[in-house]
Amino acid sequence: MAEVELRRISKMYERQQVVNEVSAIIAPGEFFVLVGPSGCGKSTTLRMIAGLEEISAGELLIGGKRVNEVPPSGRNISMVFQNYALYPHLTVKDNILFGLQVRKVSKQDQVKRLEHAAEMLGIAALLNRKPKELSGGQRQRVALGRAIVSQHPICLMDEPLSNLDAKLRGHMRTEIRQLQQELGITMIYVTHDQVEAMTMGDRMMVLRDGEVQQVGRPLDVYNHPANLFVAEFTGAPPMNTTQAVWRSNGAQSGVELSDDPSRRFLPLALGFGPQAGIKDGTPVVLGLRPEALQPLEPGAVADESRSLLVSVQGVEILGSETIVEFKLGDKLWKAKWNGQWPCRRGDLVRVGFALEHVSLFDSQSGKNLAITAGREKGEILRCVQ
Amino acid sequence: MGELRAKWKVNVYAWLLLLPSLIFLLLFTFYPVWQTVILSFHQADLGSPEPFFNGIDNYKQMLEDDVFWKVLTNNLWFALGTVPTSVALALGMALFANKALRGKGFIRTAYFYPTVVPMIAVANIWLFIYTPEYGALSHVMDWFGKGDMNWLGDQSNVMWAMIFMVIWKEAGYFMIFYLAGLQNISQELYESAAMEGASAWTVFRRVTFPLLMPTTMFVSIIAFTNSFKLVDHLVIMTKGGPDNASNLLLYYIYETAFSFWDQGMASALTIVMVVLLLAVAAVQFFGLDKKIHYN
Ligand SMILES: Nc1ncnc2c1ncn2[C@@H]1O[C@H](COP(=O)(O)OP(=O)(O)O)[C@@H](O)[C@H]1O
Ligand SMILES: [Mg+2]
Repeated sequence: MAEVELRRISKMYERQQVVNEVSAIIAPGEFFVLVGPSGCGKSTTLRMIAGLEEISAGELLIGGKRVNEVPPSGRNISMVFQNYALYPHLTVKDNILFGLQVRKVSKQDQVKRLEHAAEMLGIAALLNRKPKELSGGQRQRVALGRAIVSQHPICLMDEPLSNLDAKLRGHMRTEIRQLQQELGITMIYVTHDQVEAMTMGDRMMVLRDGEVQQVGRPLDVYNHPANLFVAEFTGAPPMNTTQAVWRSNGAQSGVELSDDPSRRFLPLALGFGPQAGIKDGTPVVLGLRPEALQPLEPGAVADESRSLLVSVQGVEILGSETIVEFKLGDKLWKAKWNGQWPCRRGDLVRVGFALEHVSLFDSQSGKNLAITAGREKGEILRCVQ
Repeated sequence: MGELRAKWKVNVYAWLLLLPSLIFLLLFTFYPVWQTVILSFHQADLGSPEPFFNGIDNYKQMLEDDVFWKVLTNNLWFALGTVPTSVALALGMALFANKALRGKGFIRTAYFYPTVVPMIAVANIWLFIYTPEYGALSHVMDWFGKGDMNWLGDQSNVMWAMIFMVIWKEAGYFMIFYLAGLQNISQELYESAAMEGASAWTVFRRVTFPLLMPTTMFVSIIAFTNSFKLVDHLVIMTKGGPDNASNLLLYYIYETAFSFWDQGMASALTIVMVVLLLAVAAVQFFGLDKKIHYN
């Protein structure tokens, strides 16, 4: 069993608290992503799991056993480092076999594992080269090869793709994911890139300043961000937000956009407010994902309450999609539309949105007010084959 | 045509920029070297008012000179005694200083200190240490009942005394190069080795040492040339004695030139020394260099 359990793990440097009571249970065979902006403590957390960094407080369990005091080599873990940590004076083969030689694995077994890994990664032709004779992607594969031959059930990776160009990165994302599934290993993967977290992980943990913001399946996190930070961290472009005030006067309740000069009022469904227990006049933050804002045909009868008439500030036509920028109050919002929309700056367009796509956050704490309203129906649509 | 002109112009600029240093190099390095080569084929001692050409007489004479052979073997022993020891010691000290995180600065300074002290001052310190009866070392040896040893006055001790002092002086200097070399090795490599559970010795043997080879090479060459260059301490401490037991090649050249006033012979000796040093450097560079990993 290669279950990894973090129990309120903390890290202190001098007086500074870098990781604060992080807890998680990572199931065997799971691809678990630690994601967050730079400096939020992802690497520190990972290194504590690896045993390269002492755990200041809390408990780390691997396979049900406390391993706080176990040295890295005793934890059955392999690690892929950000700069690959290849020994520059050794050949690819010796780099891959280094760990096995250290652990005195028999020669035949070494050869077998090497061949297997080299074949899996397609690096059989490179075995006698030195690392500096390899491209970035090839080095990355060698680093993966090391993790494969070690046959440890747990693999840690710290931003393994950050040194690759965009195209290769996309390719390696799939490759690493496939590898992990083929080998059935538990993966704990650190990245600052929310795209990697969304596309690779079975589950992701969003960290900020050493504190867990949310843990969950990528789409759940995306659809139901626990707070404003997660909402604005996920998605590209991220969620649009603006300050608003909750108004609830009997029959109708909704938000009044505070930053808007005309103080537009958007009525939201009745069930929304009272269940969340929002009082009239409460300052809130309204959030809408760019793809939730869709253009309405000029002729179509627009439902005033679920649309905004806005003036286009900028347009990015990316070929398959178009990103339209407009001002709402003093905030620049972005809408993402499929296809190519030849809008121009100054055009007036009406964008509509569906009520279930609206997120409301407490303007003080940033907490998602709707999460508590029990919107658990947001199932992930199954892919039709 | 225009291209040629442009090229020529660039070249002129390059030469003009090089000119100042080139002049100094010609004046103070190449010209004296050339003069030395010429002089080594001349008889130029107190007995000859005008130097005159005498072919390879100086070299022949040198081969028959017992003192020359004595000095040369002395110097080889001196090199053998100082180079590997000071380099190994420097490596050990660097590993230690690099590890000891706290007070890193202090340890570094402590090790480096002998290097910043001028050789003349070092020689005087050690002259005191080695003084028979009253010296520091004699006091220490007294506890072992051997206080009557004469370090600099005894033919069999003097070389060891010199070797010891030079190691003390140089190891700290070489340590700095090793420290720089160690800083260049990525921490990730050590962490990766730690994940595999490699022992400290394995890590040193398979990672640290091979990656420090360029430094070792560089430091060894410096140490070797130093062992031929060092004379200040001889002037202060032994003047090459007793009976040439501590005499080294460069000091012998100095004596030949400025005590015996035999310029021709001194030039010939100089040429021998330069050729020797070049040969060793060449062997190290062309022979061992291929086996070394450079980043
Ligand atoms: N050795 C250290 N001493 C003091 N502070 C550190 C040390 N290592 C990291 N930190 C601090 O801990 C915080 C988290 O670092 P890190 O885990 O590397 O972040 P991330 O990997 O998420 O970018 C940063 O603010 C960093 O400055
Ligand atoms: Mg990091």
